[in-house]
Amino acid sequence: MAGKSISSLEDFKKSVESAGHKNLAGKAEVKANESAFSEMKAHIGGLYKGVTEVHSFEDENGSIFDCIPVNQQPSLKGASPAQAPDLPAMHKPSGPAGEAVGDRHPHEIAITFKEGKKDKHGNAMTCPAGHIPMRRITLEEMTRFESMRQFFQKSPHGEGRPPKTKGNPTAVLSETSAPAVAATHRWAHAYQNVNNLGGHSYLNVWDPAIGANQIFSLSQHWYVGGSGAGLQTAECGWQVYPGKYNTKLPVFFIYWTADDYNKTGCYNLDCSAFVQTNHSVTIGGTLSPSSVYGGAQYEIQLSYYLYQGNWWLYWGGGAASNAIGYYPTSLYKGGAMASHASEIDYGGETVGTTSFPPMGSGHFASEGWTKACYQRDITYFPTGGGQVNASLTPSVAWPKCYTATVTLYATPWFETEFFGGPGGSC
Amino acid sequence: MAEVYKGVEINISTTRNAQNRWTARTEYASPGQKNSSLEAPEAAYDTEDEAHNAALQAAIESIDRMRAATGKR
Repeated sequence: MAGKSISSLEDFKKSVESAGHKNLAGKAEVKANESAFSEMKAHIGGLYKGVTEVHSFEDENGSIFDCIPVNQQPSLKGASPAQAPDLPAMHKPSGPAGEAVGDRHPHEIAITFKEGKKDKHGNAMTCPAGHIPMRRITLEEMTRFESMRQFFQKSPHGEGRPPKTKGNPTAVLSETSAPAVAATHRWAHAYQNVNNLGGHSYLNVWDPAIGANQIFSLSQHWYVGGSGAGLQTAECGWQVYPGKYNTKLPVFFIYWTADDYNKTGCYNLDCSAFVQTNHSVTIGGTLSPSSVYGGAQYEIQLSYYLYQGNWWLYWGGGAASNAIGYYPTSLYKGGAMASHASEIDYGGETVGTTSFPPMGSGHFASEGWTKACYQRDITYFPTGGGQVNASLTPSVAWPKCYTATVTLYATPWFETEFFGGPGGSC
Repeated sequence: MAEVYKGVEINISTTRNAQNRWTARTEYASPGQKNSSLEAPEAAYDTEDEAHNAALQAAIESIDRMRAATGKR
């Protein structure tokens, strides 16, 4: 049963079923045409078919989360989820000891940060055991994109591609229309070419401002395998993406692709891919608080780990109880990521059209602690077992907008990347 | 020594010059891409590792710029 002012899932489904394009057309934010609108309605209908909620809640940015039974989520549809393992233990660092860290005391946003909290309607902001909070995908959100393809894509304005298949909850991307202004990506990041089963870092959380003609700004992990059209990833981090989430605040996100962001891939639980097992983490939910320039620093701790056919995602430490859920390797259709990744990558990404938004704190990497965004304690899980420090190579392809530096510190920071910048034209 | 970035194989070769310092060159390992160029630093370095790492960074940056132009969709 939904709390007051939040429509029940049943009412929501009925409203989607009865919605017509003409009711939405004319609103400035509606970009989907009638054909795309029909596909979007069908997608939402597929996602929520047979799904019931025990209660719903609204987060700080107005997103509704429905607490649904674990096995009703789109990627399970009645099946039982896998059981999470503990993460492998850290090997004692070998090689150089690293620079002294100094007096740095960031605050970790714990996996339980929403437990005990109530929303503005008085609803608990976590779900009971055996349930997961699924962010409600609405027609209002989807129709802010021109097509299903744009909705699922990592940014809305990619290269056009002819329609091939009908859209459905397995995120096969279909209908397309040419973007008005091509958006492009910028990165400031650091990578390592090494076979791996995932990795770990603490991600410093900021809320970079996204301006007109700018799309998103993020900090994330990439685990990458394959090449060319067969490039595959599992990704996680935080992003500010007002066009998707309708908020200027950072949001916790996950993403995957099995074909270099072409026909497969989607955010969060937006398509049938990720299996969530944790009852309190809101994927696609607001993160708070954000860090303050020269002041308090906040961070989240994320890991991916490939175990028995599933890319498990963790928030916080390596105990099985910190698992959020997993991407089944079946998503990768026997490609590289079905067995391991061959690259680890950490840092920032922005998307813009005529200009690019700030990345991280909006300040360059050289400003360092409390002033520049960072990821620290960057480690990976070798295919042979254990957990070791990364040894990253930075990439600063647009130094006018963004920079990145990599430093090996002593415990507890270890391999650390500072990155970011003001953005602009580059 | 071959490196791979975003699935693109890169060959990096290092040379010691007459001043006993190291330089590096990069090229695509794939025959189909050998006509495209990757950037490499012109500087010379004290060690082979430094030259290799600088060349790798320059190659990654080249590939990033190429991927941004086509767009990660």
